[in-house]
Amino acid sequence: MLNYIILNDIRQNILSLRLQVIFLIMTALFIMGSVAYVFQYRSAAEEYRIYSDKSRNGSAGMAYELIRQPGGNITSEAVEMQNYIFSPPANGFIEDGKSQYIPNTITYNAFNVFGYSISRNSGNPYLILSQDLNWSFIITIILSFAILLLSFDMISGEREMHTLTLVLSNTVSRSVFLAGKYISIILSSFLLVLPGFIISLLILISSGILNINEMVIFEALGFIVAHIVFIGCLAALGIFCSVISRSSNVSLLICLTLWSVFLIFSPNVAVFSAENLFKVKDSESIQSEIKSVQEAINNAAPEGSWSMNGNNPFYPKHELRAKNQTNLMNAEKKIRDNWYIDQFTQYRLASYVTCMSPMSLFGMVSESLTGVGFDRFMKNWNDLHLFQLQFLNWFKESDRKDPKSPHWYNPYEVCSTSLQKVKDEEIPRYEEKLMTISQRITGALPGALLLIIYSVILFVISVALFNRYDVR
Amino acid sequence: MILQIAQKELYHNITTPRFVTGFVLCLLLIPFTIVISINEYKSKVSVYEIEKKKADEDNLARVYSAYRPVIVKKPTPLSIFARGISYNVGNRVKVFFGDKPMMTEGKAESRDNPFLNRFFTFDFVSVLIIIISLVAFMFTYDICTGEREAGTLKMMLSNPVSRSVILMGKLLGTFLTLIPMLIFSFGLCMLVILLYPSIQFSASEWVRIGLMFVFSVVFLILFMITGLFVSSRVSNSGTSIVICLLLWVSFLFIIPNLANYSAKSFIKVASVDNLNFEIAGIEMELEKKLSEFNKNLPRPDWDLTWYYWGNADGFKMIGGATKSFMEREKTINEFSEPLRIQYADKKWVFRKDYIDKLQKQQRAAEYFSFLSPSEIFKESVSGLCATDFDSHRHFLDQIRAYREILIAHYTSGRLFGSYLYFNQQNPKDYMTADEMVNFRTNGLCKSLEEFNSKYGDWKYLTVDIPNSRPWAWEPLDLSSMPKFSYKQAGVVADIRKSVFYLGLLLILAIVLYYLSFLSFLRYDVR
Repeated sequence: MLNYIILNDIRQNILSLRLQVIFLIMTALFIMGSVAYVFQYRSAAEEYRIYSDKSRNGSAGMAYELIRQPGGNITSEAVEMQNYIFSPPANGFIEDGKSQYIPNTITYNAFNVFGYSISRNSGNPYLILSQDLNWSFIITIILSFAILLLSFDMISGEREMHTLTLVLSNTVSRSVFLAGKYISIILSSFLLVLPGFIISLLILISSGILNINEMVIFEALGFIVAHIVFIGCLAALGIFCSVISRSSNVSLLICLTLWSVFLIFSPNVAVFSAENLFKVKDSESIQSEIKSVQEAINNAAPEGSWSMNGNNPFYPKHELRAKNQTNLMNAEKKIRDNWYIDQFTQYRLASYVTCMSPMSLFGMVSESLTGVGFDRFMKNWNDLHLFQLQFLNWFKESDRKDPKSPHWYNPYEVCSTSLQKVKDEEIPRYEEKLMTISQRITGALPGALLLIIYSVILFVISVALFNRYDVR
Repeated sequence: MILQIAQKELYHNITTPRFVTGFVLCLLLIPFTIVISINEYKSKVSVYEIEKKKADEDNLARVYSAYRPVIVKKPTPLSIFARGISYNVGNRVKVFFGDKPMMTEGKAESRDNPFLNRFFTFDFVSVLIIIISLVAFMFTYDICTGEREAGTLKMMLSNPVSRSVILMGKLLGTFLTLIPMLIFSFGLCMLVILLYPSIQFSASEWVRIGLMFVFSVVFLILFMITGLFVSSRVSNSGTSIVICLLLWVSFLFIIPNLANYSAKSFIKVASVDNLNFEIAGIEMELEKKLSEFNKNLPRPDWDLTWYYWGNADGFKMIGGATKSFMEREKTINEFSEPLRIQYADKKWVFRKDYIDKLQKQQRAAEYFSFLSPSEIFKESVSGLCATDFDSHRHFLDQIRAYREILIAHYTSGRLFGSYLYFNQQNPKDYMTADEMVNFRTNGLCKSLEEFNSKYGDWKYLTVDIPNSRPWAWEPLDLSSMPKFSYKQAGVVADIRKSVFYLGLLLILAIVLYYLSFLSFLRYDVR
């Protein structure tokens, strides 16, 4: 019986005008999105390649005076501020995690990872904020709307057409009937997007920017599985709205209100709670705090801490200078690191607040699966800290071997450590490691589980309400 | 008769659940939106105040070569209504002589935690668009189909009343139902703003808010007539609502994002690296010319100065040098400063090209997105609030014009060739090398040669040249310098473009109404 209900509904859906129109819209969007992505990725990858071909990226935005010696030597390599800029993700056609708007540049040298910023080199500041037409956008906004359109009159519409009494006069229990409807919505919606996914993948593969490897297959399949969970949650929501009321107009109103609230309310509430409930110090007060601490250090520094002799690394005052600079760096590092941790926590708490909305949950799940967004940043941030320690070790080892160095480590300046020349290939370089499949799955699991819990709760409530539903 | 039908429509609509839903939506969505926009505005204002203070300090110049005014643009409270691009661009510009200002600088993000940018919040005009268009469709999708299905349409038409009267009456009734919702949205917005007494609007800003309301009414009418048109073309409420909602999603979500994404993908912008490369090339050429000129000048009698403070764009503070050194500097400045200004024009060619490409991308996105009437409305409101691209460009144009005025002032006042361009000592007190050695060693040594051969150590130079320390100089009196004042475009100028587009929307509405009328004339009322 269940199978019969499901198949019947799917057939009805496919023949209905709304599904056909939605199918056309979604397929068109998939095609346009993929084609635009191909162009965009080619130019972004080219720019990134040119950018990282120069083996250095120049000094960071922070105003430290560098005293550079001409010609690369071990110390200048170690103290030069480098920027690691994230490469454009190859899987951006699935989800981009608003990567152009969140930090994608980390500044570091061998002694410290200084901070992060957003590199605006390839963006156009005159364009208003908009979302990319990737799979995530199509699913989160368009498909969710489509599901609500399909399911708002599953029950109340049938009641108005008086077919509900006819169906229930058969030997089919109400729960089985509702389950059949629910599964038919999920399957119909899946059939809506499956051609879109396939066409999109074909366009990308044929354009040559997508090379099929294990990770890409995992990401595409993982996304499709996650989106089925999302469809399940929204279908349950649609059925719930349909069962609440006896008129399909009211069901539609409730559906639309909930959809708008989830879409608009949740990011606004997230930012509101972040700015008012989970407050973090602003950058001006951090700057003044750093300035006052550094002034105190400079005032307490022993006489001669600022002397410099460019020709003689063994000039005794250089040891004081190195100590002073190290103290300055550590003081600033402590204040900044605490501030960064506060910012990370603020963001995480704000994202938990958005968990009331299935759209945001699905966004978080797809970000984890594709390894972009905040998760990618945190991985690079932590990995870069580890790399910095390795880099520093390499520098200290190489410096130890040089008898012409007083070994007074100065984190910003080339004045009291080894001036050995070094070949480019010998310098350790940071390479980003992608998140492993198991890391991604563990990151995505909480969100997916929450979606499943929402679906189960909504479905159970719908069954309970439907058992009392007046079908006349 | 029209009024009677309108009245009946109004009374009927007030009792339906959709009326309450509209108000509930406004109540849920608007307050949070306004509070977040106000917070963004307030942080922008505090950033502005800090930068203004810093700019005022930086603008105190001790020599004319230090005067490169920093101009900070005050944020407008109207950005609470429509964000536009005001949070994408900085608000600070430094007027250099050696380069024309291309873009603004300064902190652009309004949030200290850049990760919060992941949450795309909506500003007032976006939420208003969503609510108003949704509610307009909710009420008009069944103007014709609903009455037909209820059976009351044929009863109405069996009376001696023409179809045009009925259509107009129903439309008017729906309009009267929806206006309270629009007023409620604006009222709620104003109420939340009133809770923050630090936000004040000037008279012209109130005029703009009033115009925003008028534009919203036009927008409401257009969407109502679109719903009416769909309803008059189909015979079934279910089909009508589905078509209306699909149109709604397309206009509000698909077309704007598609337009921006396509523009970003298909229209290339010039790369910053390329631009910097070209600029570097021009600067190398300039450097060559300057060093050529320097080489051909005679060396000064004592080729050093005691106090030297220099930086970019010709800034130099020199103190305690000999007369010939000072004269040499003056000659260099007379040649180099106008040359650098000339080269600024050469650099501008490449900079302008870069901005033009950015602008092209932005215009393409804008025109593509105008397929959706909601984007036209949003753009018009951004124009009213002076947060769109055109007002930003207007600001930069004014700064470039001011730079020309400032340069003209310097040129006509021969400030480049004056000693005050880099030094505040009295030129009559300049000494030759021998006089200086005599003065500084307090008579111990009579000539530079003697000093170099017999003494050699600077510890013998015990006497300081009076008024030669740059950081002891008083700031110059700059009251005669032309000052920049930002003239915001008047309301008329700002809305010229918007009025054109809204006129288009009104014409579209009239055309759609006429088409609906024709469809309704043939409508099957059974």
